[in-house]
Amino acid sequence: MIIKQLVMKNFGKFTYRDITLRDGINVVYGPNEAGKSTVHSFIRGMLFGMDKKRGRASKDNLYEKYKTWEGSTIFSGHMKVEDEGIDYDVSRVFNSSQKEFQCVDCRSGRDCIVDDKPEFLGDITENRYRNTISNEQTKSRVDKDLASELKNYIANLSTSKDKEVDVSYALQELNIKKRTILRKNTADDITIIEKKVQEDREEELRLDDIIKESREVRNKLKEEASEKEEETIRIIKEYVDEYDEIKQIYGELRELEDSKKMSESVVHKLEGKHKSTSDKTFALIVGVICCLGVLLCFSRFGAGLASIFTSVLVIIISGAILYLFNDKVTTLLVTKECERNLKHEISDRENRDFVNNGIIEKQNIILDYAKRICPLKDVNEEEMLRLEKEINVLKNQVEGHMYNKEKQDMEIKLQLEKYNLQIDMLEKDSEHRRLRKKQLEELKETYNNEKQEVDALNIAMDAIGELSKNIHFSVSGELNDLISKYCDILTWGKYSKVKVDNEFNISVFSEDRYVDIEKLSIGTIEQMYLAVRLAVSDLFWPNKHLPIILDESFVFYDNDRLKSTLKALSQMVNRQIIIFTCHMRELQILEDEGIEYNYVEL
Amino acid sequence: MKFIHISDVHLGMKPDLCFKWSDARVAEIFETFNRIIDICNRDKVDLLLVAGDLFHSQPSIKMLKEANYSFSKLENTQVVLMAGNHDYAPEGSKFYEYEWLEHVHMLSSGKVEDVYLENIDTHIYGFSYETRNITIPRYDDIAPYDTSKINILLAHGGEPNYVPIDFNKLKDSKFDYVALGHIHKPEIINERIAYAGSLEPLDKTELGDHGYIYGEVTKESCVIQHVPFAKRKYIKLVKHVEGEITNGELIDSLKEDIDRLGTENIYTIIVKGYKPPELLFDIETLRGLYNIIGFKDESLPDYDFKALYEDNIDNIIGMYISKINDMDIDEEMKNKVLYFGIDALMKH
Repeated sequence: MIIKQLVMKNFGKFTYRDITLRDGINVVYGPNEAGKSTVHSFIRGMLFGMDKKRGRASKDNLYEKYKTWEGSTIFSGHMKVEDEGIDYDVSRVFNSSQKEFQCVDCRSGRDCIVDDKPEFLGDITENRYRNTISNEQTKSRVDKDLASELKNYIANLSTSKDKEVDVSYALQELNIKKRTILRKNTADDITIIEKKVQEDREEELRLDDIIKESREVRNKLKEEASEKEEETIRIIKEYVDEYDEIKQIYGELRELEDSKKMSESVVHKLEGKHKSTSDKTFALIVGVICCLGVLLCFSRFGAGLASIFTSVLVIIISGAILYLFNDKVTTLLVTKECERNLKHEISDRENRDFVNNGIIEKQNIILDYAKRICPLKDVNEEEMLRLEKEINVLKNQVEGHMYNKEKQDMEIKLQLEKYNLQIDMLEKDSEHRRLRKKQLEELKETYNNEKQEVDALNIAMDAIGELSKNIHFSVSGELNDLISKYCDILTWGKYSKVKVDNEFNISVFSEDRYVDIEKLSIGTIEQMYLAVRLAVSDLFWPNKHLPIILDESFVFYDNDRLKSTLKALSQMVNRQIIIFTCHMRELQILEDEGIEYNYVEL
Repeated sequence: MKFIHISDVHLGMKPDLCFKWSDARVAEIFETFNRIIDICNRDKVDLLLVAGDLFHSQPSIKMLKEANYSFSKLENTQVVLMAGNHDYAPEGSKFYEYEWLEHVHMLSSGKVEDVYLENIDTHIYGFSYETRNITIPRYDDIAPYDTSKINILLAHGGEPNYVPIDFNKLKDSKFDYVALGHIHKPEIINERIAYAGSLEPLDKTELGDHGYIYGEVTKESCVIQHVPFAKRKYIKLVKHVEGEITNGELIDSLKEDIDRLGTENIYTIIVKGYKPPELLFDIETLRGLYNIIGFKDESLPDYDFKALYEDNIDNIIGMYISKINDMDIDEEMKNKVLYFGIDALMKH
């Protein structure tokens, strides 16, 4: 590639300036402030445009720098470039209001702009341009800094050989993607929900336990607490209830006994009375018969002995009758005589039997009843009191039992109520629990997907990292060789072996060993720099043979070094060298050595 | 003997809670349940078996009344139902104590019961869940007593926490039919054992047809079939894209598919294949028109890795492509890694 012509219109201090350049060495000479940097910048501006870059330091802001001092006139220009056999014409208007950019094939008029750049630039970016073709005057010239600058330069080159691939940017992008996913903290969300689901599970188990307990308690309620016990209590209750009846029977018994006693005494009295009455009556009758008998005797027998004897006989017989038949006759007499009274007596007697039977019956009932808990010796007041005491004891027992049972039932019912409440409360949450489980499943799926993404990103980042390291290696190898080659040429063999290691430390083989360039003079380092630039531009664009712009590059060179360098440069075929200088030295040497060059004076 | 076997109706459930069709689904579940009643009458079915989870949760008296009313419309069919793990019915619960109509029989809570229906000479064995979880495999040891009659086992379970089932034992049991519930995906295990599946699908994972099992059983044979009966289906729609597809094109293609497969159905859309690298698919318009429950873009950006490789053999892009291709990882991961790496390297 050769820059053939520059036409600057209202650029910097130039209102109109036309510069022709050639293949081989060109020297652009001008004292300070003559505009050398301006031309330099013009070339860059024509190739890459001069956008007002917001936010950048103004020293880089060409627009501001070179906007014509003369006010608001249009600043523009055009440039002719030859590359790979084609002549290009690049023209630009730099004013922001009327920006224009054209690049045409001079012969066919074809439009030659690719990616907003002149086609011949290919993939040479402004950055690369500044690192290879051009070097700006404003770079540091302190030796140590220069060495490290060179080192950085190589390092940065190596990582992005071609096609605008910016590895560090790529790695950054991937890392940002990865961080964005991780920032979602799905794993934490899962942990939280898992915990809740675990709690839910425990709640459900508790629910089951409560239901089981409730069931057992409910069964308790239904069960006959102990069947035997209930039977016993029932029997006792029945028994105790019977006692009221027994009491009544006892009362009746007493009544009957009393009435019996009464009627017995009456009968006794009556019988006695009757007896005495009938006794008297009989005796009277016998007496009367006796007297009659006596009288009879006397009347018959006269007052004779026979009559006394018969009378005595009659008296004895009467006495015997009285004695033997007293009771029978009495009874007969009684019966005959006291019929009215005795009728009552008879019926009394029937009654008496009835009463007696009744009394016996009732006594038996009571004795039978009492037999079961407190056998009575006899049915009387004392014994009945004893029975009553026992009955009371039993009554208390029964009542006590019933009271306890009721209390128990109440308690159980309360307990069941409590259980039901608990179950209701736990059931209310069941839908939530179900949804939480679902949520957990979905989160887990999301997490797996995210993990896959992160894994992929990690693999990508590792691969790129590894590859870029390897590229360093291979580029450095080639670079090494090229640098050595140019170094060799520029120093006329003095430093023919250059080594660039993995950390981009540069050393040259001097005499018998490799010396770090930091230890060398500025002039040598400058030469190295030039060698590196040449090497780099060959490495990246081997077919293009890019021009090299040297802007005040030989300031630190001593005459010998300058001579050898210029000679070496002149021997480079197919290369355009543009030297900007404000010294006569370069021109002098070129003249002395008879080297052909193109002279431009500003 | 003709029967219909349903399970997992989940009356009262609100599926897909925050989506616009959720309310409609609540009503549809009841509707379909009532349509089953009509089918029982239409086909003169002798027995309706409900294998658990008729209700989504502990039913209220109101719910029980509604169900009872539905059953009252049966002209000729007896019903045997059981409580499952969702509507579990311990003694004393409203569900268990409810007085069903005469032709509706609910299995005992917690212990195996044998319900004998004289008019069809059939025994139905089983029990209702008395708690939510049952880890004991209670069905493994139930056997019918009188093998001269038709014996049916009405069961709910098949998972570790919900009565695990040994299917081998079940196959060897002497039941003429085993009506299973709990698994929402209908499955006919053999001609005598089947899961009816949920009557209406209740979740986006419940794809395919849902409905009831219709069967005719005698002592000699049992013939069953699953009858699709639900109002809607959940459908997973996988769309393959490639080349220079645009978002609009994708939307139109999906519209076509949905119109064809049924606009009442509920769709999960997955896009697979290759798309232009910077394109982000957006189906928001579809969400308004149809029932879309999920959307996943699994398509990969269409970098022609082969061509890229050839163009960049000697630089990091080419080296990256070959390095990843040589890696021992699965295809899907490879694609992802290639995409991520190239995308990042190509950006500037």
